[in-house]
Amino acid sequence: MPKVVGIDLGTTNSLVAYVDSSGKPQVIENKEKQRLIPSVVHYSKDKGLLVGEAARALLIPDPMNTIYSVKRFMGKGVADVTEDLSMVHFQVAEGSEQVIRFRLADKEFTPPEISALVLRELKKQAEDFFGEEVKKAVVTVPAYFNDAQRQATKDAGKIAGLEVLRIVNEPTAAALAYGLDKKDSAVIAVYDLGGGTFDISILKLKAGIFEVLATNGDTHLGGDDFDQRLINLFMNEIKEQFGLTLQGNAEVLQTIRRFAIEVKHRLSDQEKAAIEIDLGEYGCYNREFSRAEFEALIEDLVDRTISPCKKALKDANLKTSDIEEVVLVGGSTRVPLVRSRVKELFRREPHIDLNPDEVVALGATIQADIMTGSRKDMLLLDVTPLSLGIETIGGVMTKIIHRNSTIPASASEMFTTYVDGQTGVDIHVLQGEREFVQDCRSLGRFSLKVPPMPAGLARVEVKFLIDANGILNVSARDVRTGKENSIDVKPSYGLNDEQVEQMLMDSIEFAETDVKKRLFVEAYNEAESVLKASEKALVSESAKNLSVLEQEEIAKSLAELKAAMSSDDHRAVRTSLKTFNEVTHKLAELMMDNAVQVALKHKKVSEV
Amino acid sequence: MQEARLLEKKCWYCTTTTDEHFCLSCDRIQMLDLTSNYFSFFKLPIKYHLDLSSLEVKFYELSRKFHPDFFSQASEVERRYSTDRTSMLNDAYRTLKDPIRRANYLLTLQGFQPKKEQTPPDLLEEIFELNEQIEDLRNVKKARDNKQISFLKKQVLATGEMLNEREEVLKTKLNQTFQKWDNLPDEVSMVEKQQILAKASDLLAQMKYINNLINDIDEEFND
Repeated sequence: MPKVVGIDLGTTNSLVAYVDSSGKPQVIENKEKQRLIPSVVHYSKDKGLLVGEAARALLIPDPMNTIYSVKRFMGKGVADVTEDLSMVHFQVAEGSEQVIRFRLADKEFTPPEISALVLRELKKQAEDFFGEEVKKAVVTVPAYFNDAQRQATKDAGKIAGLEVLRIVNEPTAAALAYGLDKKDSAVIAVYDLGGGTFDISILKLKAGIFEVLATNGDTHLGGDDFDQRLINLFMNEIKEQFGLTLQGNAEVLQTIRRFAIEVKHRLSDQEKAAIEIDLGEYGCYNREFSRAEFEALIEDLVDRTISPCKKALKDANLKTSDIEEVVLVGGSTRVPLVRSRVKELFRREPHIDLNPDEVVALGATIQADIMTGSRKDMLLLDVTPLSLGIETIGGVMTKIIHRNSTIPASASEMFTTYVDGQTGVDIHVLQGEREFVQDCRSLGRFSLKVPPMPAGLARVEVKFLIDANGILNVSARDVRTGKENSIDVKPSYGLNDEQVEQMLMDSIEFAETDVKKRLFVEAYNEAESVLKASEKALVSESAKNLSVLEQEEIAKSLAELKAAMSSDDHRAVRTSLKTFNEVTHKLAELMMDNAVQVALKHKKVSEV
Repeated sequence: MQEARLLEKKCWYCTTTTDEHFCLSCDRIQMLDLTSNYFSFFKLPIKYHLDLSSLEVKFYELSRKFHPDFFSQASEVERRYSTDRTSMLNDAYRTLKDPIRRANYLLTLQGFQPKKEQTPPDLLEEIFELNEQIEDLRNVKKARDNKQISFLKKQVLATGEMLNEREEVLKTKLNQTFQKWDNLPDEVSMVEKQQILAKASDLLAQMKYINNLINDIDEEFND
């Protein structure tokens, strides 16, 4: 049975998990024994491509070429993310209206490509662990992700060479992992506050079926925002105390960001945290924080999670007292203020027994197990978080599939022509809850091709289907002929199929050149240390015992090795290094003998 | 439609005649029948009153059979049929479990297009008053006059109570009307059927109106 893994592709960290032979979900560690892989990607000409911890280490020294929190940019155009872009230091390239393109050194990357690099790293990690290829995965997304964001995640999987069997919502995955199915029935609230997103899902559990009743959230709210509040405070105080304006100094800003995260983490289990930022010649910025001060700083952000909770309850037709279990997910639920607010709202002690960083990946793995048929007792019935609609006269958004409908969900609409001989009908599809088109998210425009005939005669039935991944599929049928109608799809945000295909090709090529680059660097470094040693040896006493022929051979081989080292071919370096080692074998032996003699010379016979 | 219903349905795989979700002979999932409706999908008569808990049991049972999660290793055709059938199941369950949606759907099936919202004629005066109260409330909110806000909120809330009561009355009437429909003998005249449905349709239009008002009030209390 080919392995299917569960992947939590997070804003801050990502992880991969599998179900072991006893049926228990387990996180897969990488070679360095790390379970969480930072969702950070670095690319530069000298260091090449780095993912995870190695890339995170470059956030401070090389912030321009190091991308983090890319999840915030998935399925977005540049106009959506101006605020986010002001917080980060990587550059956006021209033509980012429909899909953002980040510029790193001489290359451009879209958010799905960056995510694909993280996925590829996790795939490799799983392959190292299993000793076999991994081709399929269940990947999680925030429940409140819209169609474009889900599609972008699916594209990322494809670019990474993974078939994404299912996109699962993070809070529902967590509910699966909690093993609450041991209860016969329960009403559960899952509160998920991660690095960049917030979700609340209300589920009804009955006889192994996890039925989501309602979900709500904010795809732009999380621990990153807590960090930003601290960063702003530090910067203001540094400006006041030292007259220093740090805006624009990417390296220092990243250092401050690191300190902000540190303070936040420490205040989760301590009442006080002190930091000291060395500002070089300007002196030192010292600051002690109390938990109360931090809480005052982020209180309004935490309170922003309450209204989505209330809305979800209302949509589920429930009162807070109906909630029997509360589950906390996401690293930001470690913040004590978050915990107390949740407790206040639901009047219930939340479950925190599972590691909030890992529970989503574990749940994704259970879903993978369900989909491979190894597990038949559980079934997840999820919903679409946002209403789907079409633009009608007057710029009004007419809803055809309401939010919180169980997916797959569908709706059919009849379309006709208004002018004699009209050959196309344009349909503008939107997602959102507001009344007017301009306040909703445009998903795309679909143009139906209709054979020319008198106005009003054409009857085309368009079926809008939101599949089990929460992604829209549109098909059309000519009612008179019963034939399928062809549709042209122009997504408003995101990549088309050809672009994804091209990125897949590019990424394979890129991964290959990257591997080559790494192999070359390794060979080069080895050759360099051999060269250093032998250059010393060649001028030593021992070298005088070599024949002229031997000396000529060494000189020739040395020139060859140096030439290979200035190429970019790791094989050439390896071959010439091997030859060089062979021809210098005698020299090495002579050196050894000499070393022994030198050592002996200074010792008494009795010591030998 | 008529023709399609007369046609025998054959399994796409083994061509056994079959009119079930799964082929009785080879057990493969079948293509969604375009002529089926939400009631027939659940093998229910087209009646308003139904047992919600057995509907839920059936919904879960069919979910366990159709859901795409269980077809990820199957052929492309079966995957498509699974998705289509599950979406029909979900759409049907969502509609039938909710009394208002179910009522509207039943009427649509019988050729009654849902009416626009309708003001209950005997409530005109009260509604006029309520709209004024809401308008006043919005104004004092802008002026941040806390004393006036709480006074007007009380007023609006009282009117809201009245509307809730009215909604209950309409619900009872709707239930009674559909009770008649559900118990109609087969040989009853077309005219009589139409009269019952027309009455239900009017009641629904009034309920829609009252419901919108209640939502408006809720909004004033939610900020």
